[in-house]
Amino acid sequence: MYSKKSTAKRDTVCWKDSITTRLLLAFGATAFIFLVVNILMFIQINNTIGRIDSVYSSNVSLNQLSAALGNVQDNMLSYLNTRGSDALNEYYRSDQEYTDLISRLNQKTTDSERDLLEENIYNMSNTYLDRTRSTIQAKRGRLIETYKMTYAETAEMYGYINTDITKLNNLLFKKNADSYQALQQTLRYMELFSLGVLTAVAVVMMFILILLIRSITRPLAHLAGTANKVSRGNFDVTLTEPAVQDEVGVVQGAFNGMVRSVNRYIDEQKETMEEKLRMNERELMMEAHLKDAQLKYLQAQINPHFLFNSLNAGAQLALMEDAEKTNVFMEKMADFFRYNVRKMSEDTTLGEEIEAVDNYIYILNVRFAGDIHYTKTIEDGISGFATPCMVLQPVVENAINHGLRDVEGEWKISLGAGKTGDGILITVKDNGIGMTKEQIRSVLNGEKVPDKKNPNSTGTGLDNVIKRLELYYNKDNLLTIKSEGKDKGTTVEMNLPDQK
Amino acid sequence: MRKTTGKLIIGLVAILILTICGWFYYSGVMERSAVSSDINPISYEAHYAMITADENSPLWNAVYQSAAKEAKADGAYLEYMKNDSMSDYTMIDFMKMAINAKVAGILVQGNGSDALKAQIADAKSAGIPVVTMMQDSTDSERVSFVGVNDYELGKTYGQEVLKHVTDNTKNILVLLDKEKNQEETSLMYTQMKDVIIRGVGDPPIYSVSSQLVSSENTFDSEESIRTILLSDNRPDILVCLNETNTESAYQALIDYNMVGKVQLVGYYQSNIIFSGIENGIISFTVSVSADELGKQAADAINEYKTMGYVSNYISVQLEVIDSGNVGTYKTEPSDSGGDSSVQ
Repeated sequence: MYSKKSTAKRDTVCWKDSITTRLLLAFGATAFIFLVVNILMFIQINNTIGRIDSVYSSNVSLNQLSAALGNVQDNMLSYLNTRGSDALNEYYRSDQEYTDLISRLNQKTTDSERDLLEENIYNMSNTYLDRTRSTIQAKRGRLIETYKMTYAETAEMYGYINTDITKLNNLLFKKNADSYQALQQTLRYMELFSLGVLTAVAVVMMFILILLIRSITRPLAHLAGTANKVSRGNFDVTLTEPAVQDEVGVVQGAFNGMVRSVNRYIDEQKETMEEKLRMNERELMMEAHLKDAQLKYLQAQINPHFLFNSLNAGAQLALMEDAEKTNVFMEKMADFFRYNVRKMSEDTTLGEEIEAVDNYIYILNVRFAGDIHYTKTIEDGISGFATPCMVLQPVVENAINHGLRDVEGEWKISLGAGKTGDGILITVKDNGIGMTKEQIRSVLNGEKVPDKKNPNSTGTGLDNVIKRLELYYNKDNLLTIKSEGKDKGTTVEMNLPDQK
Repeated sequence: MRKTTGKLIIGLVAILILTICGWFYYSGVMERSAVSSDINPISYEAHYAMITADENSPLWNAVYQSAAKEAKADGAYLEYMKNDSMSDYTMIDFMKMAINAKVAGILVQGNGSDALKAQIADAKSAGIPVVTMMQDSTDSERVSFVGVNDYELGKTYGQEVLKHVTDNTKNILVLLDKEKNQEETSLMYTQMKDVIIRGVGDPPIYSVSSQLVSSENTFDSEESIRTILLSDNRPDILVCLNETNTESAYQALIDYNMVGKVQLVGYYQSNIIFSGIENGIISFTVSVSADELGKQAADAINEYKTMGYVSNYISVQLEVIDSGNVGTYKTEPSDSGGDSSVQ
């Protein structure tokens, strides 16, 4: 049996276990991995292109350097030709520009061909600039021979430097070509690498998806198999609790609950049917006992109809002869037997039962000349209480036949009836010979067989009353017998529950 | 679910590892590629320059290798100043460039020209020491000369030629380089001749003569040698004093079927010359030790830079290579190009 809480939990899909979440996670992870791999590839490509760019930028710088060197030479020549201040200013400007540019060159000796060329260009350029400044100075000082000579030297140096710049440029271009090939090669590697990684990612993710889909479809297939068995009427199936509380898990949980409910309903129906059968059986038994009582009665009374019709005839005869007492006696005899015959198979009321007792006592008092002192205490409003037929008179008869018959002196019978919490309590008390505990136990257990040969018996024994009460009310111990011992009288109590 | 999550995590970790491995592999490819070259050049404290007349000569390249190695051990980088396809500079140009580039020292193949002497003087005034190699620039301001003593060279040739003189030897011809310093060449030839003449007693049973051959290009050399070999006065022993003449004569002897008729004595070492020795066509060859020459030259500059002075002349040993020891030299470089000669 599930508690409400567990049922509620079973009906709710935990977001962590949800198929939606798992699918989102799987596809999200795939997308994430693809994204990361692509980002890494972009970074590598950018690195490669960045390196190539740096080499090309050095080519650009060298072209600027060559142009600046040419400006220095041209401006110097221009000044030497014109001696104009504009040319001088231009020379100084180009001198400064070239000085700035060469300051970016390598100035250390290394075993790198590029570094070595840069170092040579830097040092030769410094020597060249010194010499051009000397040439300008000589021109300003009008030292004609000197500036002619130094100009020739600068022209020669200019050629040397330009050659080295060209060499360096060519070297870098060669490296560019190599770099381009290397870039192509590395890009091919990148293609293979990308292809490999993406294929691996695809394979792994396919594997994960297969696992995921199997984790979804396997419980569904199991559930379908179980549902098929149930649909064929086999409710004795092994119910598997869902491993994951996802959508399928919720369906499986609901299905399990449904199968359990159906099983429970079937069990309840079985119990109800069995109870009905038991009740029918009890009714049959009760009927059998009634039949038995009637049979005994019929055996005891040869022909009650004939008897009470005869009694009525006798009563009318007595009336005609003005024998009123005889008339009353005969009528009460007739009423008593009519009640016995008519009511034996039907329910009756407490009032009719008491009336039967009254008639019975009246008849006995006529027989025994009023020796029986009968008193009754009946609480108001209970005469309509439904009781089985012929349960009270036999108790009174039993009290007289077994309790009072051999008693010398006054016979006392008192009848009491009153409400209890859930029914009524009827008490029949006598001042007879009393009963031992052993006798009480025997009577209550039905071991004590009433004396069937007793000619004074109406035919219905106490054990019959006890059994009919138990069957009628479906409850034991409704009749109790109390006695304080020999000659202390006997009290019989019937505790009848209200059947409403 | 837990199992699936575990497999998912294992899968993701596998992809991650694969990506990282690929990243490092790719970086390794980048590092090995030309794009990443010159990333970590070695720095040096000083910068020397080496200048020779023929920078393509295997001899000079071997000398450079040795000198550069020695300079490197002392923390200096030796730059071999060479022409390439775009330039056609002379030794004088290279001297000027080295001086302008303010190198710390210059190793130069000496000659007797005034222009070189002037450049050596300019270098000195710029504070740059100059060491001459193989041939000296006499009366220049170089700090040292590392090379072969002409007297020793002539003596060595004389002694080795004597070993190959037979009773049939009538005529020994020495081919002198027309372009070289005649004064020094003359000293060597005189010494060689003196040793040969004195070695066979008096009166000599053969003549020792010399002939000037131009070695400016292979064509000239080959024509001259052909003329000599086909003349009536064909030498019994032909002594060549440069690599070009040696290889030309070796090929001519084969072409004109004169193997065994003329003994060839050569100069320098190359695979062609080694083949000639192994085939018995070249009797022997004399060479300087390129390793020693380079090492001594670099040491001379280093010593001058350190001490402020160095020996004026540093001698380099001669090596005689014949059929007995040619095997030990066969791994030496190269049979290509170039013209190296003694003067």
